[in-house]
Parts: sequence; C-alpha cells; structure tokens
Amino acid sequence: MNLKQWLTSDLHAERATGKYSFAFLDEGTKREIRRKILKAIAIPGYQVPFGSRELPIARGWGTGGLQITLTIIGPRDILKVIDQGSDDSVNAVNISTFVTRVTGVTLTTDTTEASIIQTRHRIPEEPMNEDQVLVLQVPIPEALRTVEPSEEETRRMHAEADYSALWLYLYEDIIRYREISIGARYPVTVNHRYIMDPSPIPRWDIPKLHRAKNLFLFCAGREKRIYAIPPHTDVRPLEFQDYPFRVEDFKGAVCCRCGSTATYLDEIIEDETGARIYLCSDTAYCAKTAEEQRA
Amino acid sequence: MKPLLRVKNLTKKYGEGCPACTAGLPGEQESNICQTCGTVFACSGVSFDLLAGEVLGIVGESGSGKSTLIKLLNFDLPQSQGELYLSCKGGPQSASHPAVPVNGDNLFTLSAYQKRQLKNFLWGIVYQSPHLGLKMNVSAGGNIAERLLMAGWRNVGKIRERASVLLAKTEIPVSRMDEPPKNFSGGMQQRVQIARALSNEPVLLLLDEVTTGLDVSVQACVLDLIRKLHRELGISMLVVSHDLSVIRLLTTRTLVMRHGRVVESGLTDQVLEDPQHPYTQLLVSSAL
Amino acid sequence: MLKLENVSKSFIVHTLGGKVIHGFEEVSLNAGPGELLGLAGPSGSGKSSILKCIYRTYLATAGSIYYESEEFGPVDLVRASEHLIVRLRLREIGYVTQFLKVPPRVPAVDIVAEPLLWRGISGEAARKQACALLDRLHIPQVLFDAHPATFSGGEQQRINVARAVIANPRVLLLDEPTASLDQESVSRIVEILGDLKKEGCTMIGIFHDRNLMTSIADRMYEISPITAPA
Repeated sequence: MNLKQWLTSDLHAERATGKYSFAFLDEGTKREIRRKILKAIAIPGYQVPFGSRELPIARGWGTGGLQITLTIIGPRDILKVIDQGSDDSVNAVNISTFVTRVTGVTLTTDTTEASIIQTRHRIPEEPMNEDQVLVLQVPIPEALRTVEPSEEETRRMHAEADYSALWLYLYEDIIRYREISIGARYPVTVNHRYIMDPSPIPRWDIPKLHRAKNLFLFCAGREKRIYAIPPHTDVRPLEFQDYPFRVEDFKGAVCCRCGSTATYLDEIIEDETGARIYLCSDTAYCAKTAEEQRA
Repeated sequence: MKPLLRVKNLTKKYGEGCPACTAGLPGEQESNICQTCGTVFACSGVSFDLLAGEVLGIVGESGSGKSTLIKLLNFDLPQSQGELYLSCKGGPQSASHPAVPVNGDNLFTLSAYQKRQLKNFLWGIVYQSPHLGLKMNVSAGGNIAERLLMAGWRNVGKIRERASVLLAKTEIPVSRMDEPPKNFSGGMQQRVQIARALSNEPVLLLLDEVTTGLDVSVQACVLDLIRKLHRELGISMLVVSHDLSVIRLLTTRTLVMRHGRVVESGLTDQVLEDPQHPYTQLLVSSAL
Repeated sequence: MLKLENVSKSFIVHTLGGKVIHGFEEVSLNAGPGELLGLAGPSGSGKSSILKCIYRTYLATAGSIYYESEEFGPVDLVRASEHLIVRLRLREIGYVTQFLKVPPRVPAVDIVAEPLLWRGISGEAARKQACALLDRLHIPQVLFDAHPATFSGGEQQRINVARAVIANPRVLLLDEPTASLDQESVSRIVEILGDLKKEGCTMIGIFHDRNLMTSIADRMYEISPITAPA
C-alpha cells in the first residue's frame, strides 16, 4: 500500500507503518505533547516544560512550532506555514514541504481556508475563527529573561506573581526614553495572572491576542516549553495609565502592491534605485487584496 | 496594650540537631554550639514584644545573632523554630489589599506570596550595606518605585510624585531622582534605602547597622533623620547596632544579645547605666 | 503622690568578680503635690541613686515606689512594665540630670521643644514656647539655633532644666540643677520651680547648695549610712 492509499484509509490513519508514523513523531511523543498542550490551555500563559524531540531541522529553526503542528495535525487538516508573514520564504517552504511529506495534508496560502497555521514572528492580518489554530514558533519563552537571568528565579517569580522587576524595567524605560522601548516580545498579562512572552511578533499583532476566537499555541523547541492562550481569553499588554500601549505608527506609508494603510508593512530598499518602498508583511493577504482590487 | 509585633522562641540553627539540643542550648553555656552534635545556634529562643510607636534596640557584638534575627524577621532566612505575630490594621496602602493577613496568624506559616505582600506593605528594611538593599543600576526613584509597583501602582506620574515626597523627606535633592545610587555618597545611599523602606507607609522599620561605616558627620545626619521620622510618623522601629551610643540615642528599650540569646532586656538608659547581666556590664564598661 | 517604701539599691559588679557595692538601704519617704522634698547627705551616700531608682534608670533591689499616675492610677514604679515607664516618662515624670546628654546636630531650641512635640503640640507653637523659656532662663537668642555641645556648663545646665520643665510634668526629679550656675540664673530657676509648685508638681531635688535647698524645700530628707525616715 502506498502512502496515499494509506492516508485515505481512515481506519489506519494513526497506525505506524513502514519507516515513519503519521506526521513523523511516534505515538508516545504525540501523547506527551498533547497532554502538555492540554495543561497549557488549562493554565493560560503558563510555560509547561516538555521533552522536546530531535527533528530533521536544527534547533533555532522552528522545531517547537513544528512539534506542535505534527502533534495536532490530522489527515483532513489544511495547513498554512508562514515566516515573517510570507508563505514563500525559505524556512516556511522548508517546513511546509516536510509536513506535507509526512502527512499528505493539503497546503494553502489563504488564511481563511487553513485549519492549522504555523507562523514565525507574525500573526496573519485576517482574523481567525473557532475552527482554527495558530501555532507560533518561540525562541525565548521567558518574558522575564530580560530582567532575570536565573531560571530558578523566574519560575519563582511566576509562581508568586512577583513581577515588580519587569514593571521596574518598564518604568526605567519611560524615564530614560519617555516611552517603553520594547518593539517585539512585548510582555502581556494573560487571564489576569501570568505574564507571557508572545514571541517576537511586532506590537501591531498584540491586540489580536485579546479575546480572539481561535486557539493560540506557543512552543519553544530549544528551550522546551509549551504555552497557550485559549479562545476568548483576556490578554493585555503591560502599560501605565499615563503611558498607554500603542502599536507601530507607519506615518502614512502605503503598500506599493495593494495600497493598504491598515496592515503591518515591511520597509524594503530597492536594489537598483535604492528607493524605500513598503510592502505588506502578510504577502498572501496582500495578493488577495490586490486581486480583489483588480476584479 | 497588644504589642505590634510579638516574637516567640525564635531559633535558627545550622546543623542536624540532636536530643541534647532540640529544646535549645542549656542556659548559661558559653558558646552557641551544641557540645554533642556541633549544631550552631545562630539564634536561640529569642522572644520579645514591640509596641506600636516604640523604638527597640538590639545590641551585641559580632556573632551575637542580631543580624540573623533581623534577617529572620524579614523572611530573608527560613527559621528553624518560632512564631511571629503582627497586630495592626496595616497602613492606609494595605487597607484594601486582600493578601495582607494580620491579627492572629503565625506569620512564619504564610505562603511565600503572602510574606512578600506583608513585607511590601507593612514594614521596610534598611541594611548596613546599601548594595543589599538597593539595585545600584536602577535610578534612585526607580528603587523607591519598585515597592510601589509591587503594591500595584500603575501611574508613572503619581509614582514619581510619591518618590519626590519621600526623597524630600529623607533630605535627598529631588533633582537626583533619576540617577542611579551608585553615583551617591554612602550617607545618601542609606537615605535612599530609608526612602524606599517608607514607600508604602509601613508600620515598622527594621534598621540593621545603618550607620556603621559612615563618616561621623554623615552618621549624625542619618540618625537625625531617623529620629525625625520616628517623631513625625510615629513609626515603630527595630534598631540593630553594636554601637552603644547609637542605641542610647535612638532607642527607648534594648535587648542585649550574646551567642544567639537575649541575655538582658530593659529600658535603654537602665541597661546602659545599671546593667545586671555580667556580659552587659562587660559591654558597657568596654565602650569608649 | 510619690511614696518610697523600704527601697534599697545595691550593685553586683561582675567585672570585679561579683563584688557587691551598696547604693542605699531601706529608704522610705514620700512627697505630695506642690511639694518640694530636698535630699541631703554627704557625697556618695546615694542621693542620685534614689532619683535614678524613681526614674527607673536603676532597678531597685528591694522595696516599692508608689506613684499616683494620672493615666494609670496607682502604680509601683519598681515593678511596672517597661512600656508603662516609657509612657510615664513621656507624659508625667520629668528628670533633670546632672549632665546634659543630647543628640548631635540638633539646635538648642529644638531640644527644648521636643517634649512638647511628643505631646502633640505643633512644631511652630512648640518652638515658640521653647524660645520663650530659653529667654526666661537668659540664654542669649543667638544661641537658640546652636548646638548645646558648644555651650558653657552653665548654659548646658539651663537647657537641661528647660527641657525637663517645658511640658509641665506632674513629678520632677532634680539632680543638682543649679550646680554650675551664677546667682542670677539660680534665682530664675527657683522662680520656675516656684511656678511648677503652684501647678501642683511634686518635686524631689538634690541641690549642692545646702542653704538654697533649705530655703526652697518644703521638707528635707537626710541620707547617711544609717538612714532614718523623713
């Protein structure tokens, strides 16, 4: 029986055969990671340690996100993989090729069609619904690492909700620069309890975490942590009453392909002319918008 | 009158202990080590009361256990035995805070979270070395702000206003609020510590050898400030010092410690002028 | 108001191997409101020690010292708790010591004003009263903001007296309050003591000048190695 036949046969979908089990990971691994995911969902924003497995991709290249995707994916899922908003980048293509090879699932670039989206450092512009899961790749899962190098100490700080060191860091930023200077990895409070690192997404994407309809799963493969934001969860960026959180200001820049002023833009310097142009970071959405405008 | 702070049988030992020393070391033993098992009793059976508005001195030489005592009271070290009770309504800051338990519980049995809330709202500590009590690379205002942030203050303007008030109270020029304490002189660093300790309007101040090592004129300034704060705020204080003149100046009652035990306690002038215990007599007669 | 019954004081000096030094033995005396009791006796007979026992600077070895406190009713100062004594010292019992002991850096006027601040009187009003009293005791105004360590013995002694009397204590213990003073200052102090007497203050005092003491004291108590009740 070839792989395609095997995959279309529902009764044997999960059974190991040949050299690889479905989705590459063995069943024991999937069980552990699923349990850890459930625990993470039960304690929003809390980092759950897990046994991070060896994969054919090196650490630091998305092994965390990959393990989550491989654990939760089923034969009928539709997958989208993006890196900095783009489906076409080398890393995104690398990962999506691998996943489709070991699962046979359909790949898409359309956010609204995908059931699982694995992403590095961006949240898609189009809001997701309760049937979708966003899997984020995380380099450093610890929000307090900037102010405390010791793991033992940061665990204690989370356990006791002792976050004054981080707030102090923000206060010092304000007196030095008159605003909080954190760009990416902006700390948020999840469900009024844990302070969480949302991975290096830009400030622009932070509001998308608050009371979303979809599930967010975060995973750091090298650091071996899983954490989650369940749907409809309260997620607020750390801010002061007189210095509120604000997103990036593109100062009227426009996407040169679709004309958008309401998306997160990448600034690109053209090779030949040296001119500065702006392009939507979410390339698939940009193409879709441009297409619709042409029609 | 119910005391503000009641300490009962506080003991800190380093070592396994043995049947000979479970109930503490025998009365007049000349050291703080158990002869049978070698366990060291840094503090042994210390009990005392502190009344609201009182300044209690703890005097002793090196190794007497006085610094250990302060560390135990501030939850910096875990105790081996003992009970700690606080009776007060808490300052205005803590009035609405749900996690500040007083009146009845042995404070040593509280969770780490509760202990931290207690420390933040109800008392402040000033250490001998400013490096222990301050973050040297954070601004002076930031050091004060840290305790306010822990108490839930989330308005930078109001935080800075409170910090200015405290700096003015401790005679530090407000223009230096944003400078890190590592640029300050020793006396000024101590005053930043005092300002920080006062940030949440505590009912108790723990002062551990705060003027030791300072120049004489600076010492006079800090002592003066402490006396002024006591009079203006009515705040209770625990003053640890090996310097009898500091004790005489600041305190109304004194405990004399030796080998981890309290050997004598009484009104400060009585302890210094009519000492009863042989060790106290030795101490007083040795002072310059 | 104040009654001593068979009070004795002796010192066990451990640094001298436990030697016992006797302060005084079996002293019984009393003093009432508006009365000044003089303590007389040769040097070393224990006069200062008696005052110190009343003030609790010394712990009496035997006997009782009864006092009619305004706040607490009848108390035995020998057995009273330390907290009670602290309160009494702050509110009711004043003590003029032989030597002035003051904190560094504090100006004379603030030293004298301090007991009033403890009674809840505001800073400005307290300072005003202190200035008035210092004036009455003929301390030159230029010295008000100076620190007493720099004063002459006589000036220091007047600060001492001022500090003890400013808050109108119910009991005043005086240990050689006029020792270093000239006649002029002595008469001012006597005047002040007279005012306190009229207010009903109970006073027990030691004066080095026997004549002065007999002139202002209502009664005398003689102390000698063999003591007799007054």
